[in-house]
Amino acid sequence: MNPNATKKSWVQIIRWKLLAAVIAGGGLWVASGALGFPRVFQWMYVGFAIMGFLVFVALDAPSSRPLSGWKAGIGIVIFYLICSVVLVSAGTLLPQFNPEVEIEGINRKEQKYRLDAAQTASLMEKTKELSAQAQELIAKLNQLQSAGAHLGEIEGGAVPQPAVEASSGGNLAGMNPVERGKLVFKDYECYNCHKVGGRGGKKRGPELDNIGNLATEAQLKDKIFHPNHWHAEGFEKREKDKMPEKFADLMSDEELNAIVAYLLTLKDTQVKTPHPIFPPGYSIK
Amino acid sequence: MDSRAGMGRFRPMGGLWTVAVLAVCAIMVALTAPSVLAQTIEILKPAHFPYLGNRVAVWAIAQLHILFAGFILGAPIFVVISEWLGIRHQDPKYDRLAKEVTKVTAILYSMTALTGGFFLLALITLYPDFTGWLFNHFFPVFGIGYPLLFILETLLLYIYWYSWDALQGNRKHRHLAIGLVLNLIGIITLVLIDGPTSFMNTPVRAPEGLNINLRDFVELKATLWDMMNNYSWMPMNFHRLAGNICFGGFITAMIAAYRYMFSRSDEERAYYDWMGFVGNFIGIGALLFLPLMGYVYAAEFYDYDASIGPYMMADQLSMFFIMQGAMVGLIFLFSAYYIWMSLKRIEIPDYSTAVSQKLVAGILSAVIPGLGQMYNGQWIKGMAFLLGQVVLLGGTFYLISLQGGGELGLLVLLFLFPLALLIASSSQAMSHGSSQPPGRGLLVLPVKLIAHLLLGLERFCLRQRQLVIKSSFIVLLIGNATWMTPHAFAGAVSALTDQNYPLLSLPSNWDFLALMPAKLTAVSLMVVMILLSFIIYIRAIKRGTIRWGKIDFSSQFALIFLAFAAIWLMGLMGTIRSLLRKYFHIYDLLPDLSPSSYTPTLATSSTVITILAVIYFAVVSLAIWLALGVGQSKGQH
Repeated sequence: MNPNATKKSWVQIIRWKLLAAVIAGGGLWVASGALGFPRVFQWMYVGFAIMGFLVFVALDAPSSRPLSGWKAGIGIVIFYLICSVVLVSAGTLLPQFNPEVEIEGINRKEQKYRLDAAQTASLMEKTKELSAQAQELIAKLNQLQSAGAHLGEIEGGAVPQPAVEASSGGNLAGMNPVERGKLVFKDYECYNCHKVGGRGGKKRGPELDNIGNLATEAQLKDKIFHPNHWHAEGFEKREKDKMPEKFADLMSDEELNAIVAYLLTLKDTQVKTPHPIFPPGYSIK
Repeated sequence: MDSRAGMGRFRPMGGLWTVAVLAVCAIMVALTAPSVLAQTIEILKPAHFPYLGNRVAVWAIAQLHILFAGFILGAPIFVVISEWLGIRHQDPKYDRLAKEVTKVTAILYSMTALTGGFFLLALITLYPDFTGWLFNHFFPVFGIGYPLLFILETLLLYIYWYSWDALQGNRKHRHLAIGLVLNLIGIITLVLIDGPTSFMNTPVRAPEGLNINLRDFVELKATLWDMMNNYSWMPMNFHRLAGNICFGGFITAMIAAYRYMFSRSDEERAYYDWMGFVGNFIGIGALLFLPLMGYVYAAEFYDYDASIGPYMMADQLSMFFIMQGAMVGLIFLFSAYYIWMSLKRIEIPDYSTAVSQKLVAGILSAVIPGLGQMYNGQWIKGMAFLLGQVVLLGGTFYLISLQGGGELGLLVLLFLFPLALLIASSSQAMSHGSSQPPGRGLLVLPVKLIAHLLLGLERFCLRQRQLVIKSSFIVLLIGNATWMTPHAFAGAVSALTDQNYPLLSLPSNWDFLALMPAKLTAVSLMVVMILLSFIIYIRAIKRGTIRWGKIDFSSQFALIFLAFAAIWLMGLMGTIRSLLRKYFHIYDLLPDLSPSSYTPTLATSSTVITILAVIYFAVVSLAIWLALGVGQSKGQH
């Protein structure tokens, strides 16, 4: 700050700061290790001590020599290169998830959408057939009416009922429903709010380890498709963390059956899964 | 200064006619093309982009387009404010700054249009189904509103630029008015295009009680306004607007840094040093609002669908937010570093005499009411009040006079502040027991005390500025470490579900470090520290003498880094926003089951974002060189 201040040498600038950084970094490493922080947190905090050292050295560093002309240009290019390398390295050194896990999930959903599309196409085809049959019947009806025939002769059973084929489930159909349910639990990221087996999000939704003893198949299905129909004890007044009401739109019946089959197997009485609170008049058993 | 510098052979009115004719043609094309496009693109089959894949190709071109668009929307806001300051202060520096930035903006405007065209082409050829769906559902936006506004903005920008020299003197206000209209159109364009963009993240759902699913509601019931006015539309508008101003400020500072480095005279260096200061000032000013706006934006996502929150913060995107924390921390650190370097070139007078005079005045102002209390028979209370005042002001004086009081002194001073309020409130109680009108002590004494304290604090900070700002660096580092501390370091999906995968999470009794109150405290502290440093900086400029052009050379790299980091962060946050849609083009509504619809890793994302930032910088650097470097002779200004 003072232009008349005597210039310090690099050794003078660095020595105390280095000592402070070593003490701070070492202290953070030891303290965080003793408190049970995983190693990656310890490294991060030591990283901050190192960064602090660099910052304080930069603050007291002697004035830099100005560059001009092509030297300034090269300086800028080198600076960009350093920034780029540091940022790409930082992004690469942090833990990465495996995209294969997500790709598998998307492939499963692709099957679902393909099935949905096939079902829709099949229904459309049947609708067209039925429509054509209905037109024929109306034409016949008109003929019969004009002929004075009795209408009752063609009532009942003449119009075939739409027969919707059950989803075959594609490659997933042969899978054990409980195993399939685990995948559905993962694909819809239920773990982000619900802990199972000690893994998963905290506090947002109830732990589900004992849900199999507390709710029936019908109640669970109702809860997933209509989250407001009933609540877990302690979660009935939560507005912010309420369960999304989107699964009725997104999940197929096959997925719903599978996830409920999986949830019904969760019967660990050691875990305090909150009890369901059913509103007065709730009739699903 | 040659006011026509850089305009080349263009004749203002001739240029205007050309633009007008082109605009009319463009309007005709714009009004007919989208309707034809919307009907035809749905029958196209998606192409495959070689090497990069469709997703990265669209990502790259969209990112570049948004970066250019961000600047051409943010810079004019900055430019008009600068022009207004020039009129207000009768300072030609502001006008020159505004004009130079506009010159760069005009070049980058064409890049925005070019990348916008490529973006449209990429969408149509790579994702025809989705593009057709979006165009059909938002036809008034894409087919009418956006093209018209874009053309109008183009016209206004060129009118604004070409009329710069014609509308000087008494007519300067007219020029300013054109700039204001230009900004208004720019903001409307931003708000309009944010509608479909935000809809992709938070498509409008049926109101409660209307038992209809998302798809049926959007297809059958929802109006265009319903779709535009979705959950994240307004937060996105505000966030982007502040982000663009911040971005414009930092890019202006970067232009100044480039020019400073290549300046050949002291006058030029002094001017570009000042320009860097102004750009950085606007950049940091807007930056301070961004954490709050980002929080509101994220909260709207969370409110729309509670599963988005954990997906962002604890699941697949959690490491992206670690990078965000690191970048924000670096931006704060470099901002503080620039302030530090700036302070070094300010000569501040010694305040010992001024402080002494103030102290005497302060004691007198304290003594008179205290004596009044004693005169009214309130001897003990009057004495206590006097003593409190003397201790307070004496303590302040002592701390100011310290050469190495340091952080401890500041803390003591801050501790004395509530004490002052306590004494003031006791004086209020005293006034109730005396013959003085009630409330007088409440109004007068605390004001005096606070005024003395603030003055003392200001002088203390100026005198001990080195220690204060160094202390702020410590707080910034601690705040950033807290902000970056996640609940768990993990590749999330496997760790949260697979027992065999190590869960690198905080110890349970330290969980609070990862919760929102800790994050908000950390970011608030960082904002307060930057604010404090900036206040000291501004007060130092006011009290002292600034030696423009004498700033340390390394500070220019800080300005360049701030622009680079702002661009990188924009890229990262845009990536996060897009990835929140998961495997959907439109969240929960229109699935994207193409081979590249998965979430890229952070390593891939960082690489792509960095490459795009470097490309952007190369183009902007070229634009700066073309606009301000080529043809400008030495000492032209």
